[in-house]
Amino acid sequence: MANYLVESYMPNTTSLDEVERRASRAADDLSVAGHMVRYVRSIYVAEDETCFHLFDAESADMVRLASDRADLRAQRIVLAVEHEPL
Amino acid sequence: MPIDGCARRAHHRGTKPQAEPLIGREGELLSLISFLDAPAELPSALLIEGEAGMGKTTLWQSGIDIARERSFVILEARPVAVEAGLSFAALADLLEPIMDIALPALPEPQRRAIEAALMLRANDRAALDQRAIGTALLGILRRLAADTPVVLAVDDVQWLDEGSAATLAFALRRLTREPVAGLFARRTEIGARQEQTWTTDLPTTLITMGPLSLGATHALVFERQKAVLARPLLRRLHELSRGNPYYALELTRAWQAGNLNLSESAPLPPDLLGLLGSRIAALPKPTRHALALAAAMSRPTLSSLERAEDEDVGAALGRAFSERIVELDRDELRFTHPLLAASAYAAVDSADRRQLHARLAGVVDDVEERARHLALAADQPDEGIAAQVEGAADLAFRRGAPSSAADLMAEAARLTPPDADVDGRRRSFAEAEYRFEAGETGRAAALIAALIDLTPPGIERARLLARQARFRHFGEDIRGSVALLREALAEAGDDAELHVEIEEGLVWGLLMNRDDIRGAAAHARSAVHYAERLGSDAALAEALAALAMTEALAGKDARATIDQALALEPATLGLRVLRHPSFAHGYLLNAADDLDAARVVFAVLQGRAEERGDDSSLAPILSHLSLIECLAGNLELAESHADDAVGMALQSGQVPSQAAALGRKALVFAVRGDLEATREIAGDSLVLAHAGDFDPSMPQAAAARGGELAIWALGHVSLALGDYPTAHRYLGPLCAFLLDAGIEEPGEIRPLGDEIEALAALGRRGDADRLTQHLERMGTRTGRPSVLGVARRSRAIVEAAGGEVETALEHAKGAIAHLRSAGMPLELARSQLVVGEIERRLRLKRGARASLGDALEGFERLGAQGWAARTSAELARIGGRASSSTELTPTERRAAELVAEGHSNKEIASLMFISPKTVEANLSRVYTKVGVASRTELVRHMDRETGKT
Repeated sequence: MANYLVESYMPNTTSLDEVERRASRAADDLSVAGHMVRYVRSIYVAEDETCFHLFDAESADMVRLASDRADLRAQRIVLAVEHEPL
Repeated sequence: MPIDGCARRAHHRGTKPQAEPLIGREGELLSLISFLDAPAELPSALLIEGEAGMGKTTLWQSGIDIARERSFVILEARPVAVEAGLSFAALADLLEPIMDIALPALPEPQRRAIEAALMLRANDRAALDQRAIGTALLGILRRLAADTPVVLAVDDVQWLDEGSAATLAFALRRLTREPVAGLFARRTEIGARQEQTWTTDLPTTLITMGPLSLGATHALVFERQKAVLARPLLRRLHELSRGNPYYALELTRAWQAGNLNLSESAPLPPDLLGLLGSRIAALPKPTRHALALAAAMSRPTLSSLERAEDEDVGAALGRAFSERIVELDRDELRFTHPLLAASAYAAVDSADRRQLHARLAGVVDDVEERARHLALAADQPDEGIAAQVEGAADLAFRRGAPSSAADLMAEAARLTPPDADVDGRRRSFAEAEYRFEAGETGRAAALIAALIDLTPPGIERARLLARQARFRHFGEDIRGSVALLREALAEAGDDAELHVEIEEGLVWGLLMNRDDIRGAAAHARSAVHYAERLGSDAALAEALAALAMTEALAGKDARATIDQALALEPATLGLRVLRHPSFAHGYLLNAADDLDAARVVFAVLQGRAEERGDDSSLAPILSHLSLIECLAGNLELAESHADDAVGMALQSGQVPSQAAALGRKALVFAVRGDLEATREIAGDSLVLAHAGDFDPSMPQAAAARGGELAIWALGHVSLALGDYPTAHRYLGPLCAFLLDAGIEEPGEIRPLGDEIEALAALGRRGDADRLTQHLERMGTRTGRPSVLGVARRSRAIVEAAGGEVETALEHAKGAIAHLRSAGMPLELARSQLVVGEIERRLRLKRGARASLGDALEGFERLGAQGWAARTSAELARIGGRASSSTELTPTERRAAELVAEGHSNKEIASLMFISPKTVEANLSRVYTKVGVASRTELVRHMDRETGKT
């Protein structure tokens, strides 16, 4: 399992509740089917109209699959390292 | 419908390339949707503005798609830079889809004008009438909008050709409640011809295309170029493109091709134009060549390019298609962005460019476009080319594009060989005329001045001087104009046409300045003589109309002359409505107090002017109608005509017309006795007429520029309110000026009666007597009851001032007898007031009460509060029964009773046939007399009086 960062263009976003619901559900559905993917959290950067979503997954492809199911319109999926504060 | 060989090809664009999905423009899209979803707000416009590459066209195209989904009728045009000079190119595009149904429904002159503009009909240059074209477009829009809302969509309005721009502005300005939505896009900065930027008077919502966000930029390059950028690169791209989507895409394209380093440390990439330039430069030579050719044409098509080139253009353009520099819509070639066209054109050197234009001159159909190519192809004088370009310039002018015509004519002059100096001067002269028509008066005057210096004395120079005089006249320097015309006259030789022009110019100049009526008459006769020799009915009709005016002003019977002019009127119908002899006829009828006949004539002229959209004629026509109604006692109608006249004068930008219209309005308020409003409106009129502080002792300049009635209004209101010194201060110099000018037409010296009354009240009986004699002479000569009546009233006033009260009474009663049939209620009531005043002095109380009662009723019916107040005061001085200051007059009592019955002021006004203002004035006197402070108290008072408790 590794961390992946998904970048998507989301203009006029005021709440991430719906996005988080869709992302969790997509990851859960894929997990039920036996895949290793988990939605962690999202961060929205209003000035850039860009949202970053963090996933734990077995591969970038799996994240792409989850993003598509959640309709996140990912432009870019990259490997990331999540660092827990000490 | 006959379509000749040089007809402008219809540009149906068929299925348009679909709008690309909008990225980063969600807010703008919402504004667009809410604009199109609010038909109740129409007519109005939405203007999308932004620099090149910001995505205006994409948003504009989305607007069209959305409107289409909502079943709007779509009329669209996308002008390109090259055609900014080609007359009516955009109008042809706008009307193309509806032409077959719209044209047959138009009235004949409008249909012919549109057909001539769009060159659907050969050799019908006479039909070209800019106003008729505008009126036709307005009619088409109205008819379409009656069934379905209409979107009038124009991209890149900065490139609208002159003719289309003027036509659109004309029609849009006249929309009132029609569901027509303007959807316009305009480029700002980079390369836009700001001085030609077109605007509309419709209420406009502005969408300014700002920069895209970082995320939107990423989404855009991802969608269009499949580019995935790491944050540092994305940030750099966003920074370099400054959020400009087209630039961002081009940068990405160059980066993807390995031609650009986007890292922070790399040198700055070229700007958007530079980038596009390198993209063009990277293409094979035949492709570049074909692109430059296409960029030089207003409407490039594959077939026309093939005719210009011997090579296989389709093959040469292969790369340009695959790189989406151009796209093909049936046969028509279109650059995917205007900047690409500019870059393609800039990519060839000047020698190649000349060659390219020479080739295009051989293949394009449009006369104007061919001339432009010929001019651009020639680098040295060539009479053949100069002549062709001159012909195209004339055509452009007739098609309503004076600025393009002037540019072409300047080219023709440049290409004229040095030894052909007569041709060269003719072309420069024409350029000056076109510049003048295009509103470039400074350049026009400079050109003419330079030509006058170059030209030896003689007919040619006389023509130049006459033209300079015309420029001066329009620049409102009438005196300067007259001086130039006199100089021109001396050199005009035997040229009948030139003589007509000069003599008529002199007539109007002298009449307007009012300084030499007799001289004007001599010039008018000379104009008639030359017009007869010229054999032109139109010129003769105008000359005769001018002669009739001078005859009337000089106190002669002008009926025979005006009848002759009217018989020739059909020949003048193609001219501005002001130049139809009927206008002079209406003027004379009005002056002669034949108000009913004058009203009919001006109503007919109003119809003609409206049909053609001849605004500059409408203002004076409405001003005349206002004066007619004012004299006839219909003050509300007079005010509304005056307001319309002011509006029209404002629209057509004619300052003297505006001053004159405001003068009419001021007179209405003066008759009402509203001092404050009269001062304000007359003040506005005089500021326009005079520019600077107006000195009542020197009325000449202001009177000649439309201020005459404002001066009269200021005098009249003061007289009505009993302020005689002020009345005389305005009216004295005005009357002296008009009399000194030799005006013998009483209808042109209407303030005379007022001035006599002021003089008598100031104890200047001798002066009053002298003016009265003048009025009496004019009355006897004309036999008009109105003049005879005012003359006898004036005589009564003069006699009464001298103590000859009994003779005075006789005259005053005689005045009433004359004025009963004159249809001028104010003059009648004023005479009744004079009778009443004299009777009171003679202690004929009953008679005085009856006369003053009649006068009061007359004033109140008119809404002439000042005069009414004066009459009430006079009644109050009679003493005895009916004059107590607390007793209500019959009008006041009736108004009070109607209030008690619960009627509103408006209802009372219509029940009593008086204006709401008069109702108010009556009621305020009632309040004072019965001692109440409110309507409720008044009702209670009236109830008590009638015993209702």
